[in-house]
Amino acid sequence: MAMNRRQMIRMLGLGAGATFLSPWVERTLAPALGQTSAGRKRLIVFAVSGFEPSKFVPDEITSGRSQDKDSLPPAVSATSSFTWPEMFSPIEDLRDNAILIDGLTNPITGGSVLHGCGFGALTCQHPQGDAASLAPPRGASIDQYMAQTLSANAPKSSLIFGISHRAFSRGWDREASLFSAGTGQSLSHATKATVLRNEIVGLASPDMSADVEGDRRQALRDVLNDDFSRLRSKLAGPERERLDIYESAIVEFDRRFELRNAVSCDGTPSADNGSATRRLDTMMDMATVALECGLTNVVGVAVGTADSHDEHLPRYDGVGEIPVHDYGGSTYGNKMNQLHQYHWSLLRRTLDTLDQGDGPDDETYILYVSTRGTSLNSSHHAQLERWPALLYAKSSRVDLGGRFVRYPSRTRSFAELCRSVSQIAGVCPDGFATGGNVAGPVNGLLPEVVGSSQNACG
Amino acid sequence: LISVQRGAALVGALLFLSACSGVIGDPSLSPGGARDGSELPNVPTGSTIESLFACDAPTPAPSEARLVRLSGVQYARAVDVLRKGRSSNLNRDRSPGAVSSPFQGPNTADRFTTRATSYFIGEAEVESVLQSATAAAEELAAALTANGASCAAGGFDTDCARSLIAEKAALLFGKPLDDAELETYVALVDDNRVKSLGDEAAVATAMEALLASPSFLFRSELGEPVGDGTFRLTPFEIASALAYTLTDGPPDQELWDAAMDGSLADPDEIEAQVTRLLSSLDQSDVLERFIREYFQYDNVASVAKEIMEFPFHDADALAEDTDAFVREALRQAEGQDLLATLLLADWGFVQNATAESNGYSGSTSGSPEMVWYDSNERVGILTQPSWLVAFSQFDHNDPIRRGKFVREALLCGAIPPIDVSAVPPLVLSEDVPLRESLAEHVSNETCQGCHVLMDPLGLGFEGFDHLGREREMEAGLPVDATGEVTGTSDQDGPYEGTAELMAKLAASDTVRQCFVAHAYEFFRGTPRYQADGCALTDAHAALSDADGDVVAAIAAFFSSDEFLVRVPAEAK
Repeated sequence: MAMNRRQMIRMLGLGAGATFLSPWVERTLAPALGQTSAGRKRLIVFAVSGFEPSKFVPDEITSGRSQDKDSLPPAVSATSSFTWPEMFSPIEDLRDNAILIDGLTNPITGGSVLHGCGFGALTCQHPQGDAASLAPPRGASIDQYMAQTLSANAPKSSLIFGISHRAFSRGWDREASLFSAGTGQSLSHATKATVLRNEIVGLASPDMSADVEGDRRQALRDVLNDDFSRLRSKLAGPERERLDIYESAIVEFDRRFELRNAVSCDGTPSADNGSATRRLDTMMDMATVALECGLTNVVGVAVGTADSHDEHLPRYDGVGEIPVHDYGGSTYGNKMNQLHQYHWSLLRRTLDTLDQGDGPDDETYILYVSTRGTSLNSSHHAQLERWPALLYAKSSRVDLGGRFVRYPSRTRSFAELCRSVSQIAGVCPDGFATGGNVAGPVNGLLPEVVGSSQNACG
Repeated sequence: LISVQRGAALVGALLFLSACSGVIGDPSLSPGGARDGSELPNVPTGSTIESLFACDAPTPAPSEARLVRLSGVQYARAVDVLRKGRSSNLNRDRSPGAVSSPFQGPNTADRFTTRATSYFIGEAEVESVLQSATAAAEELAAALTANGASCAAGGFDTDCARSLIAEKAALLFGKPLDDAELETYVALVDDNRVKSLGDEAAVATAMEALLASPSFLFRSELGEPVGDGTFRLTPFEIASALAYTLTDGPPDQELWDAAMDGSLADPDEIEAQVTRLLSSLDQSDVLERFIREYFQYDNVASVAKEIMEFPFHDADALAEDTDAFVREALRQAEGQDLLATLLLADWGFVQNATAESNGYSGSTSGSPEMVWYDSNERVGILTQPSWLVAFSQFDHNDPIRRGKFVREALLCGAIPPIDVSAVPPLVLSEDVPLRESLAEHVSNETCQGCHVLMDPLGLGFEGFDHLGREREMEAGLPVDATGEVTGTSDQDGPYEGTAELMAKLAASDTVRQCFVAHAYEFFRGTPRYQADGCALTDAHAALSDADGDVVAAIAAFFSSDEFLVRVPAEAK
């Protein structure tokens, strides 16, 4: 059924909490209209509160498999001779497209030692703390940085969403801290499936009367322009700039609104705000729809990454509560294993769906990261040492080789991984992670990741 | 309490915390912010209260003209008023409003979430702002054009549109539209691009334009020229500032009437309106929020604890207790000394989930109930478990941050920045009281410059552990909770235990001044400026004259020339 945007918004109101449909991947998508999929580059950044080292480090690499807070394990040269970790089993047959990375630092100086302070992906600055914590770089996280290029001509710059257990137990808006939300950070995110659906359908719905609606919006814009002009004449300096930011945002919104006419997303599933499993499941389905139909090319997902991870990890069906401080315990390790496996089952579903419509030049990148490293040299969890990550790249230009690599202590930073991902996706990272407040290397590119695409940016 | 195995980790933690760095010395807490946006250097020693309250200029310095973006709650309540009409009396409705906020949450990185310059409408929010405008406008238009409703019932025409737009715009913009503005919106209804869609759609588009207008989403403090190069806020701007700041919603009927008849231009009337709007302190969400942000106890949930070892710890419940404590303090402080009540109360709130944290053995229920403490040491809000945990580390006390809070938030002192790399690590052991370990590094010349400003204040809370429980022993020795207050004009000297520390702080005029300075920052939504020393001085005097009634200080803020007189931002 085709309907205009207003009708869709009304429908959303009625549809909140509607029945969960069968997984979207079971259905056939309508082909995107007016938009070629050739050469598309897509990025998914997925951040999770915690990796269990014993499950992340392959069995054959015995050192560094425990939660030893007092020592750093030795570096490991890139190797592909290992048993694929069970936590990533859903993509074991695709392991050649992935690399496991250990030993990165995430060296933000100052501020709190709390969670959610990672630099570079989703949470690139301290979501709370004192003003000094917000010193540069404080710019866009890697997903937002790359979205400026990858989604420049998509109706939606990016979709960003996440889930947390605690947020649903009390009225406080803790969900906000799933992502950075400080000054200078521009992120709009959803923590409820209905909200994400609103964002998707609100832009993606086909409009029967696009011309009429366009004319109406132009008339409305003409009035607003008068209003902006009146106010602007009374303002100066930074106050005028604040007004200009709003006006520019409207212009950009209108530009992307027009782009929706070139996109047709069919079969967007109903939102489900039920259990954590259902929420994430349905939101990932929606994100897959959005990636497939060209609504956006960048998706960010945060799971349990709020400041304090006590009880923040979602309680998935069949997993339940995870004793987050029972490091090294079998219950903690096994449950974390289940948690990561579930995430990768969702990501695999997305990859399979995208593959169906992909051409030979299409590329998909997944950066799967912890929101923290292990607990060395700080009380509780420092954002310093052994930042674990898995990078997946489906690209004819990239060969990650299914390897595991551990860098020597404090020699390579997580920001470098972010810059490498950007580089291999053809987005020059020159403007990312520049500036201070980072006490480690940020400018290098990881050879194991970048490989032959090192000169892609010239 | 502190295991040897954790020692290595604690080295880093205390290195971090003990660092005399600019990170510890939060520039936003210093009085050094200049009006031109630059930060003046921190004063490296003791209290800076005198410079903060300096009032030696011949005339008050005007503030800058500015826009203040509505908060999410303010937006929702304004839309409610658009639907229901202006409230005829004080709005005590604590509901967030029928529509959801189109904005992201408050910026918690600022000292207070009310700092106006932190809020924009950028790409991340514009979509939800415009969608909210569309949805609200359509609902409103349907009601306005329904049979029997409004002027449209007799047949919709231009005059009807003009009437509807004038009425609704006044509610949203906080002022009557002038003729030119009004006709702009009326012309939209008559625009062929809109008119062809039908009456309801035309009205909806006009309402959508109002709801998306920067004149609604940003309330203005611009003023009208008075001939000497400065501008004076209009009564309507004053009404909106008071209403949104003090009640989180648009002006009620009485405030609007005072703006309409011009009486609100009189500072005495402003004071009267502030007093009216805050006539029931315990009903004030805004005052409650100020105290929560001032004391920062809701950070309790951000400090992780070993829940396997301490299953009784419930951060949310602890914060709920203190929320209840604050409401009761506001109730008791009606016309009384609020700060003294907050600092000296010998009662609190306890529930099942927090009894152990409070060391309370009496009967409790599932919700916070008022109790009187047996302890002589649990006195006031800084001994609430929520505050003690909020200023603790994962598994030990944090006297440095506790002392830093007292120095900066209660004494308005500044912590000087020092190169963190020059600070030697501090090793902790479960066999050594924390005080002794701290003494080692305080004796170091590199560190003592700032730690002498923090540790002697923070160690006064050593009678409590990192979970907020009272204790008598640490590392096998009796707890030593002695210290020394410095940097006040009247209460410097040694103390023994938390109760004595609280008594000194509550009796200090420096603390009272600092409280006023923070209230000014919160309610004005600006950083504290040295140039506002006269306004702060007057507000402090008003607070003293009113025996500590905080309403008197707030009324002084809004009746001061520093608030009422403006200059364009670029003139600075």
